[in-house]
Amino acid sequence: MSTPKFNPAILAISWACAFAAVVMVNVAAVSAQDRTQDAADSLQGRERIVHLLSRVTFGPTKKLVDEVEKAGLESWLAAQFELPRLDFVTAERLSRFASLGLSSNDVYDKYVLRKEGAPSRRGELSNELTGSVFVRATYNSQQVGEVMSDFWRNHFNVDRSKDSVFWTAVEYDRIVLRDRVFGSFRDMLLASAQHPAMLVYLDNHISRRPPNKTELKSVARKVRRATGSRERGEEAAQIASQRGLNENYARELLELHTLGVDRGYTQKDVIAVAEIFTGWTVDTLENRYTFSFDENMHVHGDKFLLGKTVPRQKLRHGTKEGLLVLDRLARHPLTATFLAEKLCRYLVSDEPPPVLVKTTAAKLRSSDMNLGTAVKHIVASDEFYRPRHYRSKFKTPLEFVISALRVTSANIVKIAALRRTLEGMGQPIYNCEDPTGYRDTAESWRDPGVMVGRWRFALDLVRNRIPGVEVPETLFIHLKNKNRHAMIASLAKEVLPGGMREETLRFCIDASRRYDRIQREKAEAKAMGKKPSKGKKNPKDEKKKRKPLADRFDGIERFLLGVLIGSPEFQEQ
Amino acid sequence: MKDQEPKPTRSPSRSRARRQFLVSAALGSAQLALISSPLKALSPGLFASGMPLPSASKKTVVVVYLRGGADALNIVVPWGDKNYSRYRPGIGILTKPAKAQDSVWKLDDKFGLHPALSDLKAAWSKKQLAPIVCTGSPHPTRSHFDAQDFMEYAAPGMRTVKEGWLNRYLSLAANKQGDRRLRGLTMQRLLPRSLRGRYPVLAVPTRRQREIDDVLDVFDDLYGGAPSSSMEGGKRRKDDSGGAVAVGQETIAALRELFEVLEKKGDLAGSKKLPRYSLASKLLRVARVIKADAGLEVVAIDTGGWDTHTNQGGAVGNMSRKLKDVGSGLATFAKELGDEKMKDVLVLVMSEFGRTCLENGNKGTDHGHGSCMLALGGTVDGGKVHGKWPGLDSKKLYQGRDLQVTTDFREIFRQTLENHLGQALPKGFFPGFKVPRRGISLFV
Repeated sequence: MSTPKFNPAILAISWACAFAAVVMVNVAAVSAQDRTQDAADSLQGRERIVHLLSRVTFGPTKKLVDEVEKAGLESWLAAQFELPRLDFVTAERLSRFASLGLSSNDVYDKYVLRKEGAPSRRGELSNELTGSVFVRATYNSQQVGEVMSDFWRNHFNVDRSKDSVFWTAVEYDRIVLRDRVFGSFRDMLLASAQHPAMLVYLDNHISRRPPNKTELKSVARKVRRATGSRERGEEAAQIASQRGLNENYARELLELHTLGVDRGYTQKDVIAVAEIFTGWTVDTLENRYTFSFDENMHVHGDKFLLGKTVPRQKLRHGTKEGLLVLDRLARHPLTATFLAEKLCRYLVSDEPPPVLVKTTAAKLRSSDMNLGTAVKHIVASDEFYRPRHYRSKFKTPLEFVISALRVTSANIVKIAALRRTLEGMGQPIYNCEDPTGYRDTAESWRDPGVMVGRWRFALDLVRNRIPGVEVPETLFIHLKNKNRHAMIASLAKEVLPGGMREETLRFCIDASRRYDRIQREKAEAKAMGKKPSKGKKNPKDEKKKRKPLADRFDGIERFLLGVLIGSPEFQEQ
Repeated sequence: MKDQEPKPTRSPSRSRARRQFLVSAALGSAQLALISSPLKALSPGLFASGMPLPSASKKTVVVVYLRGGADALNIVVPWGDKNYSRYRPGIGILTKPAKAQDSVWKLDDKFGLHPALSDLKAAWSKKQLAPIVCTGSPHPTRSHFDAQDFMEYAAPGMRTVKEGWLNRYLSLAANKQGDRRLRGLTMQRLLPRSLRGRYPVLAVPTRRQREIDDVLDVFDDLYGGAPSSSMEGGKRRKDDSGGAVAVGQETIAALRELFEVLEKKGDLAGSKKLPRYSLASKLLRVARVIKADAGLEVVAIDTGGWDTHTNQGGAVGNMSRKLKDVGSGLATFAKELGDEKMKDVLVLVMSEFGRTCLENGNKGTDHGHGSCMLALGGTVDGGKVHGKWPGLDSKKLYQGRDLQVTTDFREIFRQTLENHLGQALPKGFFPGFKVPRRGISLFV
C-alpha cells in the first residue's frame, strides 16, 4: 500500500499529467472527427476498432482491442466468421447445463415430467437456457455469432411462459437460431415455421378448418347425451363452430418475420396464409414435440395470395403449399428491405441510413438471402464507420449487463441472480410476451428512472454482491503499486476503450482524493488511539445520516470500476 | 483538521442550482442530439427551470391496468341474470353460499361486486365508486398484445400510433412557460405503454428509497458534473449521441424531486406494513405525491396475473386474491387522500378484454371480448352501475360466446380527459373515433 505523503504541489502536477494522459483519447476522438470533415468522413485508428467491436461483440475489452489492433481489423473480422461457433473454454463452461443438447422430447422427460418423489427441475431448466445465453455472450470468442443470435432471437421471438414453449425453446434456440445465423434466411424461416416452439407460441398448432355441419351435429349430440340437455348441446356446437382458423401466426409471419408491417399485403392475404398453414401442428404423442402435418385440419382448395394463386395440392401433400409460400416470402423484395432495415438499425443506428439499407437489401437478394453476407456487407461499408454513429446506440439491458461482465472479467458461477437482474431491467431472456421481440432502439429502454437499476447493478457487481458472479481480485493486482492517476487511467482503458469524458475523469480524481483523505484520517486517528474525529453531533443525527456508499467500499479500485460501468459513456455503444 | 476539498454531499442551495442546470443541460443536448427519440420533445422551456413554478394542475388520473384479460363477469357479477350461474357452475359467485362472506356483494337488483372487493364498501356508500359494464374495444382481437397495444395507444386496429394516450395528453396539455417535473409517473420498473412517448415520464424504481438515494448520491456528480465549456451554449455534446447523459440527469432530477415531495409528507412511513409489491403500497406512494400538490396529472400502474385459463377460483382462490389486492389498494388510496382530495382524483381500473362467459374444462375461462371498468373518485357519478347491459342470453353474446361491448373504452378515456382533467381535445386525438350520441356519462 502506498499511502501518499501529502505534497500538494507534486500532487497537482501529477493530476495534471493524469488528466492529459487520459483525455488524450478524447482529444483524439474530437480531432479525428474534425479531420474527417474534409477527407474520408470515417472513423480511424483505435476508434474504428472500438466502434466495430462495440457493434459486433458484446462489448470491447482492452485485451480485445489490442488483439484487433495487432491482427488488423479486416483480418480479425474475417476470422470471426471462420471460427468454430463455440470455443473450447466456453464449451467447458456450458457443459454443466445438461439440457442444452437435448431434443424437446428428452428435455420434457428429464426436466418437466415429475417423477414420483423427485423435486421439480423446472427452475433448473429455466436457468440453463438463460444461463447459456449469458455464458456464450460473455465468453465465447466467436462474438459476431452471439450478437446475431440475439438479433434473431428477437426477430423470431418465442415466449417461454406460454405452455410447452417452456421446454421446446431449448431445442429451438439451438437448431432454429444459433446454427443458422450466418446461413440462408429461407432455411431459418422454414426451421422456425416448423418448430413446435413457434407453432405453439403463435397458436398455429390449433389453427384448423372450421368444423362442417356434420361435425357440429356430432358435437351437439355428444354433449346432449352426456348432459341430457338439448340446450347445452346446441351451446357446445355453437362454441365448437368458433374453433377454426387462427390468424396469429399468419399475421406475424407477414408482419414481423418477412414483409414488414402494412407492406404489400391485406387482411385477405392474412386469411389465405392462415388457411395455407392449417394442419401445421405439433405431434404431442408421447411428448415427442415434433412438427407434424394433420391432413384433417387443413383447408383444402386453391388460395389466392399476394396477387398469385397458390394451387391446391393433392391429398397428403398439403404441406407443400406452406413450403411454397415460405419460399416466396423469403425471396420477396420487401422481405429483403425489411430485414436490411432491421439489421442496419441493430448494427448501425436507430435511424438506419437509407443508402445502406438499399445496398444491404440488394446484397441479400443477390446472395440468395445469405445472412452472413449481409452482416459482412454492413460492417464493411463506409456508412458503418461514419463518426456520427460512434457511440450513438443506447445499450439494451442485456448489452449493458453482458458488457459489464466482460470488462470486469467476471466469473459466472450461478445464473439465478443474473437472470433476476435482467428481469428487473425488463428484459428477461426468452420471456418476451410481445411477438415483436425486444426492441433494440434507445426509446424502448431510455425511460427516466431506469438508470437506477443500472447504477445499482454496477456497484453491486464490483463488490461481488450479485450472488454467483465474482469479479476476481486479480483484476486489480496490476493497480496495486500505481499512484492514483495511473490507476484511473488504467481502469478507464479497461472499461471505456472508447474514451472517457472529462467529467468522468474529474469525478474519479475527486473520489480517489476523498478516499485517500478518509484513509489518512482513519490512520491518524488510530495512531492517536481514538475513533476518527467527527466533531460533536447529536446521536439522532448520527443515526439518520448513513455513510455514503462510496465509503462502504473496501478499496477505491472497486468503487471506481463500478462508477465507470455506471458512467454515461458505458451506457452507449 | 479543516477540510479543504469539496464534499460530495450536496448542500441544498447547490442542489437547486444543480437541478436548474441539469434541466437546461439535458435539454440542450437532448434537443440537438436526439432526433426522434422520446426525449426529443424536450425543449428548453419544457420544465420550469426557475421560480415561480407554473400553477400545478389540481386534477389527477390514475390508471390501474389488470394485465392478462381480467374476467369481468366475476368482478362486476350479473347475479340477477339467470344465465350467470348456469354458465359458471364451478367458479360462479353465489348469492347464497355456505359462508356468508363468500356471497356476492349486491349493488342493485342486477349487479354485484366480487366479495374480495368489499374494502370498497365505504367508497360505494359515499357514491365515489362506479362500475361500468360491457366496456371494451371495437376490434375483435383476442390477442393480449394487440388488445393491450390498441387500448393503451387508444387506437384499435391502428398499428401506426405508437404513443400512449396518457403521454399524448401530457404533450397536448404541456405549459408553454414550462412544466412541473412530475406531471406523470409510474411506480414500476418500466413505463406501461399508455405513458410511453415523447413526453418524459418517470418510472420510479421498486427499490427502497434508501438504496436509490445511495446510488443517486454516487452518480449525481458524475452525470451533473460542473458546467464545462463543452456543455455551454446548448452546443451539441459529441459524447451524448446515445442520450445517456440526458436520461441519467432526468432520472436523478425527477427522483430527487419525488423524494423531496414525499419527505414533506412524512416519507413513506406507514407503508412498511404493506407488502412491498402490493398495489396498496404503490398507490399509497401515489397518494402521497398527489397530496404534496406537486402537479401530478397522470399515473399508470400495472398488475399482472389475470389470464386465468385454469383454476381461476370463485369467491375464494387465485383470482379473488388478486381482487383483494385491487380492492384494498383502492381503499387505502382513497383513505389516504380523504374525501376532499378525492374530488380531484379519478382512478380507472381496466383490462384489455373480458373472458368467455362459459367456464372451461379447467375451472378457468378463456380469452373473450367485453370487459368492465371500475371508476373511483369524487367527481364520478357513483353509487350506480353504468353501461348498457345486453344480457347473457346466448343470442345476445358476442360471437355466441362472449360479453358484448356497449361502451367503447375511448369514450371513457375521452370523458376522463375532457370532463375530469378539463382538457379540450383536438380532432383526431383518438384517431378514427366518433363520440357516440347516446353514451354513458361517467361524471356528475
